[in-house]
Amino acid sequence: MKTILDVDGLSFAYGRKQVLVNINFSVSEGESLGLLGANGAGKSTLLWCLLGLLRGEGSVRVFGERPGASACRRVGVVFQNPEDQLFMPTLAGDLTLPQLNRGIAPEQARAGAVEALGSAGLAACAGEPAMHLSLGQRKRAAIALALIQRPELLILDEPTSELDGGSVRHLVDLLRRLPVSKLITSHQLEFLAKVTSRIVVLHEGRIVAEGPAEAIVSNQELLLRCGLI
Amino acid sequence: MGTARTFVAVAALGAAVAALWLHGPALLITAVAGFAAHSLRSGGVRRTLRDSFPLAMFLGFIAVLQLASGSAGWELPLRALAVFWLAAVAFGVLPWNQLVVLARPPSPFFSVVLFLLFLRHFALVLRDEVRRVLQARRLCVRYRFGAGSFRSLVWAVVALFRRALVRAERFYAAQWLGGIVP
Ligand SMILES: Nc1ncnc2c1ncn2[C@@H]1O[C@H](COP(=O)(O)OP(=O)(O)OP(=O)(O)O)[C@@H](O)[C@H]1O
Ligand SMILES: [Mg+2]
Repeated sequence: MKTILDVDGLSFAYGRKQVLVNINFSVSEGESLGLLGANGAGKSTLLWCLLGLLRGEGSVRVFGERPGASACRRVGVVFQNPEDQLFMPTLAGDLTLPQLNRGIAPEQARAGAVEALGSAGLAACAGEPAMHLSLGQRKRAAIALALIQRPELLILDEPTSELDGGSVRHLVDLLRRLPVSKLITSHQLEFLAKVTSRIVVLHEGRIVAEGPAEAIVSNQELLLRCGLI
Repeated sequence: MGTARTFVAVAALGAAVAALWLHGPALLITAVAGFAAHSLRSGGVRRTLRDSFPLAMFLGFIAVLQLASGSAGWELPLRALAVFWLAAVAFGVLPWNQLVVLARPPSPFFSVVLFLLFLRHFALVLRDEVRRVLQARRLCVRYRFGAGSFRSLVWAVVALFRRALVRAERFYAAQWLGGIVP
């Protein structure tokens, strides 16, 4: 199967503080990979490196290219803190803008936005600015925004933080139905086990384990050592 | 609806630009009009006063510097406040969603509208961060004036700059990934 994301010997430091050490992994087309790690393990930093927002040592290839504008057009991203991904005066506007930017006709773009908000359970908030929403609602809106760009690779950083039980269940259903490749970080074992098939465990900036999702989340000794239970 | 809002926004923007050149009573009248319009839109005089507080502090600081150099005047601070109130009204009532559709690519105005939207977003971010920082300071400093209050204010301002930088960085990253900015 084709590799769409390939990380080879990636290391990164904020100044003198080494945060990632010799990271190696890859994501194949259609695969759903989980990135598991405790607070401060380096998950968000790793994602920023993959997107070319931070530059470390080693090699990163996204769709065979160095991470940059053209490769990232094919990637949909939801940040851990998505408040700055939404900035229009209304949510509908937020979801319309990227479509207009891609040359989609206004009526079609607006209809697409309304539909996406509906399936995110946010139809009633279409006319509200993101700033007026709860954190969980914002997160759902950011996920809808990422999906509306029809990405080939979806990258989600802690998508379940701030989500209530019902929203998590909804997200699990959605992700399972979605045929695109996914890279999802989380420290919620149960959630990762449901939406990914393989998990990479990050601990203090290093990959300490990698394997099938069920095997990883049932390895109590590993989880305890990495501060995950 | 869209036309009326556009009209109000253009009038407010026009007045804000005019305020840059006005003097004396004309400037005073424009500022009063701006204050009234802002209060009407934000839902009260108190809101307007609160929103103007950081700017007023900054202007006070500039006024002190001017006083020290012997050249203080009332027109500069008033002009700044008038522009702030009028621009806030204009940005608040502009029918942005329609504007974005009108100026969609390949129109050359797309980047202008986006630039204005980014300005608007960042002004709101700054407003929120100022509120958060002041609230945090209020919770940990017992007296608004007196021992420790000045130092905490300085740290609050430092925190504000840091937070604003982080937000700006994240905002740019998000728009870059979305293909909105180059
Ligand atoms: N801008 C920064 N400057 C310096 N150090 C940073 C910066 N951002 C993060 N770090 C440090 O890098 C390490 C990894 O942070 P990161 O945010 O990647 O962790 P994480 O695994 O995403 O954690 P969480 O589960 O809490 O989101 C932490 O020790 C953190 O303190
Ligand atoms: Mg993180």
